[in-house]
Amino acid sequence: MSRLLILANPDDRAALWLRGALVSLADMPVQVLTPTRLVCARSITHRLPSPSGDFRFEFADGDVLLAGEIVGLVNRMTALPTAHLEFAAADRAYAEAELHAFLLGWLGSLACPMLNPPAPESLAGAWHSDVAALHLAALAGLDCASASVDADTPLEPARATAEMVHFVLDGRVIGPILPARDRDSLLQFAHLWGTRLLQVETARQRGKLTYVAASAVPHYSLGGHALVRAMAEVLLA
Amino acid sequence: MILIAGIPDEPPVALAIAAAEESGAAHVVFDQRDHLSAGLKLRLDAAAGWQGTLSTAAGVIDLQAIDGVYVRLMDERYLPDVVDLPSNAPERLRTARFHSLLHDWLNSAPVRIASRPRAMLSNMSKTYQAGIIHRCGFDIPETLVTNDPDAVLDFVDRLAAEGDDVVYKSVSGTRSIVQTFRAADRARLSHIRWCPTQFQRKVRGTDVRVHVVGARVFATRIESEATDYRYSARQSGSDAKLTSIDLEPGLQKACVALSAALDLPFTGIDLRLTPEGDAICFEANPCPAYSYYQSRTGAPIAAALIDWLAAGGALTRTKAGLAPNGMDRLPAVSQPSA
Repeated sequence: MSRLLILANPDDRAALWLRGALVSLADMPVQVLTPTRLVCARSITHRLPSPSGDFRFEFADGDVLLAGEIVGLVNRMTALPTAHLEFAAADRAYAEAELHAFLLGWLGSLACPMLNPPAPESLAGAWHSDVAALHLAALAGLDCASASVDADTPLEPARATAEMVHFVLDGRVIGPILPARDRDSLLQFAHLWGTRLLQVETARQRGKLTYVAASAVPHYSLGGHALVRAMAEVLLA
Repeated sequence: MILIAGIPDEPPVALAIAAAEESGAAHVVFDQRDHLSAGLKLRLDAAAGWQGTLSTAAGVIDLQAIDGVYVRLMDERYLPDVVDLPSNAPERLRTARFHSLLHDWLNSAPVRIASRPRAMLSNMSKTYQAGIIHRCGFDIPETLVTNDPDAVLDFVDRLAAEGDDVVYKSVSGTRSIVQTFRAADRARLSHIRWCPTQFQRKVRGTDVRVHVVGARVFATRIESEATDYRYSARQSGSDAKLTSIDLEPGLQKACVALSAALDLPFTGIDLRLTPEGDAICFEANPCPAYSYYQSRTGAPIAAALIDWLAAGGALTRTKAGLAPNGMDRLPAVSQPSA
């Protein structure tokens, strides 16, 4: 059965909002698959090499998920479900590392459109520390507050309050209209971040577009239906 | 100036230091065991990125003076003076912050780095990295990752019918000893229900470890009767025999290309050359323990590493014409003020 999947926790409000918004744009089921259901599947097989990801999940209720059935995937797996590994005691850290490695390898093997593809540092996609994000923003040409940090003094939160939210999706900027130079900076920032869909919060200070925060696990409702339509185009391509 | 970061008497680090001393390359060593007293200060410059200093009891290192870094840092959670402390102990939290900041700098510094911590993470999942390896044109072993004992038995029986054994090993970067699946393992298969486990067709052929340093390639043939040659004495009763060899040019280029694709300018690629002449790639080690190979073959891997890092400074000077800010460089190491 062809389907759009949203891989997210059951209490992920952004994921639930997105599912409701995508349903009217997709002529196929849009399902939220929880990481717990995924890793607790009765039978999991993932085979390599395969050009398009060769896998099979058989869940406790008998439902089966096959490689060719996922048309597009929204990946919001921000945390690894590990409660079922509690019994492992001394081997728990090893089991968690193995489970993370399996999920990273499985997500990385999927050939379907994915927002966002996994990265070794985060199953939900490319992630950067506040320090690294600030550096990328400066490289991209966004204005950044001067910052100093050391091992005993964590980076202070951004002084500016977010005034605007934009989404960069595969080279498109979705959000309030911006001068071309600022749009280019957002595009460059997302490129440097290394992900397909990025939420960027900014403020206008001294006439310059100033970086405040960014996330590859966005709040889609802030992008409204323009964002959802753009996501549907990507996921159903 | 080259920065060598790690435990100085750990063999790969010790060889790098010795190579730097022998070649006369300007270098400074950050001893990771000084992590609790070490300081790292960074400030963001919109044009130049993060600038700052790394300080230890031995001196203060101006990070702007660093042209290249050899990174061989151990996981800070397992450093001897914090490993037994509770997770919320101030020392553990402080060392986590220090290393996080150090990694931030290593990930972004516009100099040659072997290798950036971020790039090293691809090896956290062998199947994730295998996908990249396969897309780079290498064959990879037939692999099954599963929590289903029946699927394992089908896999084992099918490959047995084709005359091949099956091995199992970790999917993660956690070091494990590769083991051949034996009849006795069938009774233990129910254990995999809790966590998918990796099984692979045992590829017949000769192991070759390829160290790539920039565009230079050092290949070592390993002859051993063991399933995992790193444990040859334990598994087969005799040590592995290591010999330097020349790879054919196409395979050399493929190894350099894979190293570049992984953003790992210094990597240890594990190949097996089959009797049919194919090269099967198992993984690319992001921070190879090359000393084992260098000590047995004499291949000048450490010297190549130092040469590559030192050349980064020459490139910077060639591009910029002058040192940063148009000023002569200050000494990289100075004594901390009292």
